[in-house]
Parts: sequence; C-alpha cells; structure tokens
Amino acid sequence: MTVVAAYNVVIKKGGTPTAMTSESMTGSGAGPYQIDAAAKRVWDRDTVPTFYEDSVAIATSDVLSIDYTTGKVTFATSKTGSIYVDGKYLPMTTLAGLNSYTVNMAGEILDDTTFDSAQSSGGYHSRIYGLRDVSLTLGGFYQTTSEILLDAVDDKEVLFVELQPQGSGKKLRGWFVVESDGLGGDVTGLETQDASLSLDGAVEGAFSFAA
Amino acid sequence: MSSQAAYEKKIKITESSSGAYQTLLTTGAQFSFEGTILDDTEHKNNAGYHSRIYGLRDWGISGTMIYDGADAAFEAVIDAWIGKTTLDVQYLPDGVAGSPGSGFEGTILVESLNLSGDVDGLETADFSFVADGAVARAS
Repeated sequence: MTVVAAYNVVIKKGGTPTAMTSESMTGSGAGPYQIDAAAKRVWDRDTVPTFYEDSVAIATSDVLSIDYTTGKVTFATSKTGSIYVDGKYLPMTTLAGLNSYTVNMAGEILDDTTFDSAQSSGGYHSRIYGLRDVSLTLGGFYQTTSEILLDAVDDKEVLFVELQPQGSGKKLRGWFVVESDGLGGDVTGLETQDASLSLDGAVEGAFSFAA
Repeated sequence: MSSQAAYEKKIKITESSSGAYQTLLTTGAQFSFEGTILDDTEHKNNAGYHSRIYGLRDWGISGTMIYDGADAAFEAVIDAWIGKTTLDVQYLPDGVAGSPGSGFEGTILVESLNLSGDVDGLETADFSFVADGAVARAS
C-alpha cells in the first residue's frame, strides 16, 4: 500500500497545441501503441494525428480508436513495423496557487427491472449504466501572475486538466469547461479563488485514469 | 449477544465471479437494505390495521476509502466506472465470509466515486455502489 499525504497532488493544465513529427510509439500487433515521449502523451483533440508504419502513412480507415488523453492508438489490423505519429500535443503546466480539490465521477444509473429479471433475482432491481459525468472543484489562493481559470470563463475556453493525486503514478485526465470561478477575500486575509469545472465529453476517450 | 467492533470490517470486490476478492482501503462503510413496501389493506380482511407485502427490494453500499492509485482494488473500482462494468462485492462486518463469519455479497454498479484532498490532509475517495440484482449471504 502506497498512501501519501494530499499535499503531493499535482494539478496541471494543457497549453498551446504544439506540433510533433515522427514521434516513435511502442506497442505490438494492432495495439494499443503509446507515444514514447511522456511529455507528449496528451494530444490536441482538434488535430487528427497521422500514423506511419516505418515510413508509410497508415490509412485513416485502419485507425480503430485514438485516446487523446494518453497518446494511444489502436489499429484495425496488426502491424509489424515501427510506428510513428505526426500531430500536435499539449504541453502541461502546473496550475499554481491551489490547495484543495475534489473530483466527482458520477452519472445516470438506469433501472431496467422487468418482470423476468425480478423473478429471476427473487424480487430485486436490476440496473445498467447510463451517461456518466465528471466535475472538478479547485480551491486555493488567487495568483496575480496566472488568471488561467478566469480567462477560460471569459474566452469560453475548454481546458485540458490533469490531476495526479499522489504526485506520481496514474493521472486523471480530461477536457473541462469552467462553469464558475470566484474570487474573494477579507481586508485582513489573502485573496482566494474557487472554481468549478465540468467534463466536456465530446470526443472518444474524453476522460481517463492512466499512467 | 456478541457485539462487533467495526475495525474488523472488510469491503471486498472482484471484477469477475471467478476472480479473487481484494479488500478496499475503506475507513468507513455502510450497507443498506431497503425496498418498496406495498400496502394491500382492504375492507374484507383487516383487523383494524394496515397489512403489507414486499415489493421490489434494493440494497447498496457506500463509504470512504483512502486513495492509493497503485492499489489493485481501487483500480478495479475506477476501471468499473470508466468501463461501465459491474463488480462483485462483499460487505463483511467481521472481515470473514462464510461460516462462522457474517456478511453479504452481490453484484453492483459504481454509481459515484469522489476524490478529494486538501493540502494538509490525506487523499480520500467517497464511493457509492448500487445493486444490480440480488444480495446473498457472503460465502
């Protein structure tokens, strides 16, 4: 068991999409293949990557799925050569001034109980998953040099947020809209900031918990 | 009568009915039984009181655990939520399934998982499991 104090959490946001060319990927068969460069594992979801087997471009029809949050691709057919990718990645920078957070992962649970299912179970509800959702709250001190969250609301910007609860290991990643960002402070205290964000699940693999 | 100290409680989960159960790092947990009670009181047969029968029943588990991203049990919970899959769960007040232990088991969906952490505290995760089907004595 590896339990660490919460002060180790690292919370980052994605920056300006940056071009990458001929980046190597590791995997086998049809995949998934993941980009080797750890700093380039978050891909710009508005740029469709191009994949190559050795130096030959792989047809888009052969791309089964792309996980933009972890830099992975799965193909429809098995590959034997070296895989490379062109595209754009998001450089990550730490969101400064934070000292608390919550991540709420929830969603709709749909009751699909029928006469048959209730009789089979001896009279219990049966259920399936419906739409899921993720929301974040971030709290801390207002930073004069960084008004990222305020700017996001003002510009109607969708932010990529990465949260690593233990400072190492797996990360929660996703694209979020900033629903609200509030500042406050008494004459005797520090100016604080509280923001709430909601997932924008517009693309496949919009949220992940992975290395 | 024999009381049960709560520190012995274990909440265990497995991703498949044939897999080994793994224990969650819970610091507190609750198990709830409930259901629809149907009032079938009628004029012909009553002794001046309501009469009732059971309708559909329900159960669930909720609680809090310490976050450990490398813990296999925690990973199974979050993977079930992300992958929209079910888990088999055991709620064991004395930590033991089957005779001579007590406890309950069944299949659940992960309704919610809430992570939080303040700069001066521990990372924790609040969870809520809802039932998919029957509950039985843990074996």
